[in-house]
Amino acid sequence: MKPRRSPGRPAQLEGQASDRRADIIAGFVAFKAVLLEGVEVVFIVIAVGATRGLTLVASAGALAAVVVVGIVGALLHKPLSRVPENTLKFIVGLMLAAFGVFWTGEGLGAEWPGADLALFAIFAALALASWLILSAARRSTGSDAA
Amino acid sequence: MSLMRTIVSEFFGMFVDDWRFALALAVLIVVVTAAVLLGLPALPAAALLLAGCIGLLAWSVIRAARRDGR
Repeated sequence: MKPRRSPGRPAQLEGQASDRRADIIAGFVAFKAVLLEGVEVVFIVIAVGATRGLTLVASAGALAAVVVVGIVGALLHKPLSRVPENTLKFIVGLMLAAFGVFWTGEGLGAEWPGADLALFAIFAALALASWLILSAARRSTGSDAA
Repeated sequence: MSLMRTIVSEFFGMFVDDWRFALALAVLIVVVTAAVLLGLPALPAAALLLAGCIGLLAWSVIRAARRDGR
């Protein structure tokens, strides 16, 4: 299949896109990323379910989420492919960091104000801080990052 | 042997991109946990954790920006 031409995409990358080896490498990269997320899912299921004897229920919930994400991915993969890769990674990184801070805080015994709604506040705080830090870094280096 | 090294390196790289940043985060979590065990209330400790994460993020980004600017 001939790759769709993207404006600003270097000719070298265009050539590599039709290389079969690029497909294999892309497959391995995707496998690595999804495997990592799968390991996180296992830890979440164990954390949520095992301590309360709810491993089966937590596993069923995780499996259902995999199916839903698969369906959503199939429906949205075309519009999502237009979002810049770095922007996607940035947003996902913020979400993971927010969940990490939220759950670590709960693990320490903290009762976040607003319970689960505190996740949005933590996300907003991390997003604002990240934007300010990146703006400062761009100004100091004069670079045009993500 | 170099193949094994590559595989181990790739596997480790899946979990840790910047080892200094990861280590600093781990130290932060240990410090905050110790503070809670020594009597700091949990909610201020969690807020300290959030502030610490933001501080370490700033440190990591500035380091990377200086490295790339060389």
